[in-house]
Amino acid sequence: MDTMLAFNDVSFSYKNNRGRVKKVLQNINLTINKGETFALIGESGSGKSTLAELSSRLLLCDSGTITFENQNIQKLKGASLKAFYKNVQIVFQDPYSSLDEKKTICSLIEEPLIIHHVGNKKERLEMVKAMMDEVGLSQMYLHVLPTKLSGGLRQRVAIAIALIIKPSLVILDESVSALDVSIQAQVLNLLVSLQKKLNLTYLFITHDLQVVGYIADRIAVMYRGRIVEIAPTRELFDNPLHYYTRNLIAAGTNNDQKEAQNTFFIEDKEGEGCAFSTLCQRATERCKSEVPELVEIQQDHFVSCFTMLESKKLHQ
Amino acid sequence: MKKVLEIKNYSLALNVNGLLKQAVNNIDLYVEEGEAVALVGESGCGKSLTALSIAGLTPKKSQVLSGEILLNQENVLSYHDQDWRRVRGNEVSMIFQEPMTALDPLYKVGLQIEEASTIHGLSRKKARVRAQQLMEKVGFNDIDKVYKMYPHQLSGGMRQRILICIALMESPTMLIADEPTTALDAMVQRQVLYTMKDVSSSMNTSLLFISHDLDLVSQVCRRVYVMYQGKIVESGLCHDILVEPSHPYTRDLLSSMPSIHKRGKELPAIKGSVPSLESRKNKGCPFAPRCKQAMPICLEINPPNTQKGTRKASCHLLKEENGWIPC
Repeated sequence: MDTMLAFNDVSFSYKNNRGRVKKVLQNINLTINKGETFALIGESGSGKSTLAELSSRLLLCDSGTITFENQNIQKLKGASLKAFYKNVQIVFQDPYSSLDEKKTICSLIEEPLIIHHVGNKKERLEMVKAMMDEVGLSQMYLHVLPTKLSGGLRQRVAIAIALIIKPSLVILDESVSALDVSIQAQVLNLLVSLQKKLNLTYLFITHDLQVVGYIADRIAVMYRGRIVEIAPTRELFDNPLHYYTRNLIAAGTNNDQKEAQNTFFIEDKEGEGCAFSTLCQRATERCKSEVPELVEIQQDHFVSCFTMLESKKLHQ
Repeated sequence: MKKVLEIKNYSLALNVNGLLKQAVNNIDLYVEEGEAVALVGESGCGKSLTALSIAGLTPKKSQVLSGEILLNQENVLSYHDQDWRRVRGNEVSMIFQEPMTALDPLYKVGLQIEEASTIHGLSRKKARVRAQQLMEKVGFNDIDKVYKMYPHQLSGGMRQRILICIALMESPTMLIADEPTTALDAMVQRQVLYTMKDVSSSMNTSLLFISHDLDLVSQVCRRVYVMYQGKIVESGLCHDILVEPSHPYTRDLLSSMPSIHKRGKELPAIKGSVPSLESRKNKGCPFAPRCKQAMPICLEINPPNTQKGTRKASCHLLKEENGWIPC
């Protein structure tokens, strides 16, 4: 399979104006293949959204390389950078704050076309109309302000804005989290059908396990700025290996109440060791002093955990 | 069992551009002592307005059309500001959705917990002891440190726990939680939910839990009311309703939830969305325009309330020969 986006040992940290450094992402390695839905899950503050912003070059990373279709996106300039921005689009979480309330739906959806100099006025209007059909927006909303629309319709507008310039990678940052269940189902159906029709690749970010289980092909689990496990969806749900993932799945699917407890009081400890070692019941001395690497333990199933690796070695 | 809260035939209208529009429609609801009850529905269904009515916080442009709300056998609709000052915190407390905006950013959280009691006349010293006991109960382990922190230093889950403490300071008989976990992520959501349930049941506080997630509330609540467009369309034991929903709205709501078992299939979404208050019609069943099983009669006549055992529902599909008795 062709690789669309690849992270190679990427780290990123925020610095505040007093010079304090907060490490947000550490040694991220992942690849996203063409045409798949790749999901990122993890608690808030684990660095999911920062990873999305790096992928779309809204931020530049401190070290490592991010490649999009074999180009290093950190080094893009001028026309090739503009072409990259055209290829990668984001749909944000809150459809109420992500749309300019003073512009009509038509001019909102048309704007990316103007920025990227596509077509003349008449052609653009036709494209906007076609796109609105595609995402299930009636043409009566063409000259309406977004304030008149409900949350579900607004999210459709946001999707239309992202798709109008025909990107190949769409980043969906908690795009269905703010919607009601019935509307969420409508938008999820729309995303699935658009993906098939337009041959899109999705980077899907969410904290909702049910949504991920429904839509994703592969899942990466993030914890405190590191990827702790990557696996195909079924495999991850049936056979979670990292203890954090086990906790997460137990909490989300309501099977095992005991494993889901005792994961709350976390002292923010920077520094050595596996980030989950303070909460993990099986943590050894090694877990507290060394960071485990992400290793392919079975085919397509990556995990970073010393205990798992050792038990695997014993089996062999 | 004693009923702590009883809402009888309550209707509330909002003033929209000079017209009175009914947002809550003749609802009946009760909560027994120490019981956890859920109120479920999409946004815009009147759940929050019902909750605000119980705490006397309805917006100024609203008008009560009929019914009464009995809190410990007293009708709260006749209360004046002074009565409310006595009742809020003592008898009824509320936890809101956004833990980010519900706390004052300029005061230490300890002080904000204390305030709930000092305002009712308790000394600061005693209030402090009480606050620290509660903080221990909701699961804080480093109480002295957290006590002196400001809200922005705490995570969402911790802030929500502080709000639970504030709400429970005066040991209210009734705790209303309006989507308390919606802004939190899956794991924290569950922890907060269980904390709330455990602490309130240890204090014998009744819980009215408002949410849009049927699956989630069934983990802590015994009974559930499903609301659509200001009407209660179905009520009964959580377990029964999850296994076999009888109203089409409840059924559609449940089947539209995504899960790993539905991979590769189209989700059976409910078409359309909840109509805005201005565009609502008073004729027929409120769910009829979105219902897959709607019949001509549904658009004309509002279905009567029927009962079968512990369950109540109102739908034209529920027939008397199947055991649904009008009530």
